[in-house]
Amino acid sequence: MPITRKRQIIKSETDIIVALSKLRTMLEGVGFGELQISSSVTAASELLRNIEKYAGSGWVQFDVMTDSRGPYLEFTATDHGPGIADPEQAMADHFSSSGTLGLGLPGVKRMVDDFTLSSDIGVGTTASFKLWKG
Amino acid sequence: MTVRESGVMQDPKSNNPSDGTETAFNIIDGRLIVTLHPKDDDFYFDSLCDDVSFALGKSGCGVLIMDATHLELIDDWDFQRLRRVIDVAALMGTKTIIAGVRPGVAASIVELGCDIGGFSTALNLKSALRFADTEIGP
Repeated sequence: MPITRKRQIIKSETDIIVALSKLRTMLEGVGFGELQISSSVTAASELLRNIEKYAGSGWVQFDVMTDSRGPYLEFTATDHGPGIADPEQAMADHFSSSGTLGLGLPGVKRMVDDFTLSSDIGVGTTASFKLWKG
Repeated sequence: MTVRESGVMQDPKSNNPSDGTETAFNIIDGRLIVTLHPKDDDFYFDSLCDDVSFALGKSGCGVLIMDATHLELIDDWDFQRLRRVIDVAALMGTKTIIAGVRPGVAASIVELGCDIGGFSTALNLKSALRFADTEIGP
């Protein structure tokens, strides 16, 4: 059962800042520790910036759920942008298709518990992760 | 942008109220100190490099201390911009110390795999000033 749920359109840097602020507030309310909040918000920031940079717009949804391991954050960022030709390569360190250092996705994977990336060319990209409260 | 050493030094750009940059500088014992604030938008980090290089040129400080105490988030994108400030400062002959990085922010920077070479760090501003005195000199 979701404890709480937030869903938001991402079209601008301001939308990203608002979403990250809501995420931080949500996690603080559920009692996540500072390190986990920092990891979650940083990972979320990377994914939302990717939407802004590559797709122009998209949406984000995050819930705090509970299962047998306890409360966890479930975060999903989706866009209908150009898609990623080779998601596996995009997960490799130092890969970038936009001239940046391309550190985002591998970094996100290291910071969270379950990171999944699915993408279809011309259809869009969905990136999601979970992070259980420590 | 304002550079203060007992209230000295003003950036002409600060006369423009629509500028949106509020980067504040202090000079203590010849060290240029920049207090980093949570960004309102990308423009903050973009303008930071210009503001810092201007202030370094104007003040002649050989040490730049960036106080990150107030930052709750530095992602890869932000770090690349901070990196640019550090690299520009280095080309101007200035050594950079980043002070007060929060534990969560530090852990995230490491997880992101950011290049953390080329600058020094300190637990807080006081430690940074002490480090500048003992390790870098006047």
